[in-house]
Amino acid sequence: MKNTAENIVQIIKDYHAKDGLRIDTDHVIKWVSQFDEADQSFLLDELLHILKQTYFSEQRTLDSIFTFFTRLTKDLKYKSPVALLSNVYFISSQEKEKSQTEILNLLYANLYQKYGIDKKYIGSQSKKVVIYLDDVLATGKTTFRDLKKFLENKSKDDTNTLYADLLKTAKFDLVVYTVCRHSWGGANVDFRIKQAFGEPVRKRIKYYCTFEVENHVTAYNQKYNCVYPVNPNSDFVNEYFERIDTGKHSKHEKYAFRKNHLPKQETFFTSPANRIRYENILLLKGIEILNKVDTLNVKSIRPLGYTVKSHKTLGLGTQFFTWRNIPNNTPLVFWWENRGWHPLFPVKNRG
Amino acid sequence: MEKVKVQTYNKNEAAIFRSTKATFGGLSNMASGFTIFVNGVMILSSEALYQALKFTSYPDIQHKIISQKSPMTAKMISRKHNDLVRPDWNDIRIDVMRWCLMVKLSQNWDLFSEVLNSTGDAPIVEYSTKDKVWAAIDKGNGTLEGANVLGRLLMELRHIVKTKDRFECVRPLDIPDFLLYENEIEWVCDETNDIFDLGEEEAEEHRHLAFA
Repeated sequence: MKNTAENIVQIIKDYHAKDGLRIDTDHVIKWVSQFDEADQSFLLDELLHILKQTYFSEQRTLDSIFTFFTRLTKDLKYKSPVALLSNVYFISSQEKEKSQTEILNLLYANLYQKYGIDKKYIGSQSKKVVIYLDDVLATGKTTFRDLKKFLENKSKDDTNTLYADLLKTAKFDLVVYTVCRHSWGGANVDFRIKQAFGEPVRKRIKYYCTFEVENHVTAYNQKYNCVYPVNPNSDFVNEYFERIDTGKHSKHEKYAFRKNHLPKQETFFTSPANRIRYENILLLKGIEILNKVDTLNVKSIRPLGYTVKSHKTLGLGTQFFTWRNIPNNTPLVFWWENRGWHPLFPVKNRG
Repeated sequence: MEKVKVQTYNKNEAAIFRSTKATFGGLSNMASGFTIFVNGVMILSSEALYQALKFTSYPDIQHKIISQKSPMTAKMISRKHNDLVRPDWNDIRIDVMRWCLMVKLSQNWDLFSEVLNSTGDAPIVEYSTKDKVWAAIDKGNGTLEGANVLGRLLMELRHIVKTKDRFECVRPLDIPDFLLYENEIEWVCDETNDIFDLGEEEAEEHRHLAFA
């Protein structure tokens, strides 16, 4: 088990490292020792298998962004990424400490080394390619809110026209790149944009990502490369499920648990049986954590992570992690730090 | 299919549509710009939706149809699988078409009602060179002849637009196995506000945890 813990450390060691956090084997062992002894070794093995796929270190994130530029260069028919970047405008809609700002700063800091250009070069020819960059599109709420805000603004040039209207007439390209994108959240953004701005705007927005979480329960043939348990039919789970407070309009209850025969083929976990075991361990422990909370003020918190409040489901169960933060859509066992729980990924630096 | 009466229409008096690019083109199921969101799945035209509903037991075929950018290609793929069309199709297809049109209207109200209203009180007729059931064909004497089922459904819809308030939801058809990708089709609503519970900013209270 210690070997596996060490291998996990090797993958996630840059998590909050710049803030002074040092994740070591003891930290990982301490985390896993909070689970039943019989599950600990299994849990680390499976987690290692998952983290290899889904942990995005600073370097991997940067490489992913550069790969995206290469692809976009080809799709928009520019001669090179440098030529593309001279026509790019990055939407910067989030506050200083938020993901978008940090990712943009990471990019700016590495532009010279990669392309031999500095920040001033970006958009120096034109602003014909508008890019919205972020680390993750989960429910889609933030992405939609930011895109809406941008599209409702007027262009600062002489025409003083709404960006939405300029987009309709193909005056520029609008591209959304998130390192991770959830297929369900992505579909919701697509629909909401259409409802807010109409089809001519919707069809002009291009979406890219490096890692797609296929969690759209009513879409075609999803991989469910996330934690989405079948109903374990236990009183413990049922009792929790009945208590979920969704507010006035409860939705999606029938999709709370995965259908037994899906996914058609297992591509994410080490085997279908191991998927079930891993999912149940995280679900049960997440409920146990929530049961210790007297009053849950945030109704969108679920044992498997945040979701939309009105959804009577168990949480998004995301298994995507980055060096700079952990999505709150991942299961609670990874980030909860309350009532004595020791998280694998502490949200704040305590070092 | 229920028996439908053949009608004759005077070409000068009818609102005739044929090509999506010509006058009243938005009435065609092939028209772009009228996307539909059913069970959280984006579908680019009412044609693709209608064709996909022929194959409610075959999600793979539904996916092939829905993933086409062109509605014409979607229809061609559907034709290739004629042997797998649901056996009760002839009995339900008009109801399915009516449902598809209702959904198209509910989610594209402004655009679609504008096209419907632009036909005034004229009979709406789909022009075809060979389809005398869904459309009508040219008799060469200034008239079109056919059952014009699609045109009639559109006239029903126009009547709704003129006489009723805008509706936001369409209930699923009450037929067995009304499925998209193995899931029962649910109420289709123009969920303008509640997909993300917009306005609920409680997560913002926990910004140190907020990530997405």
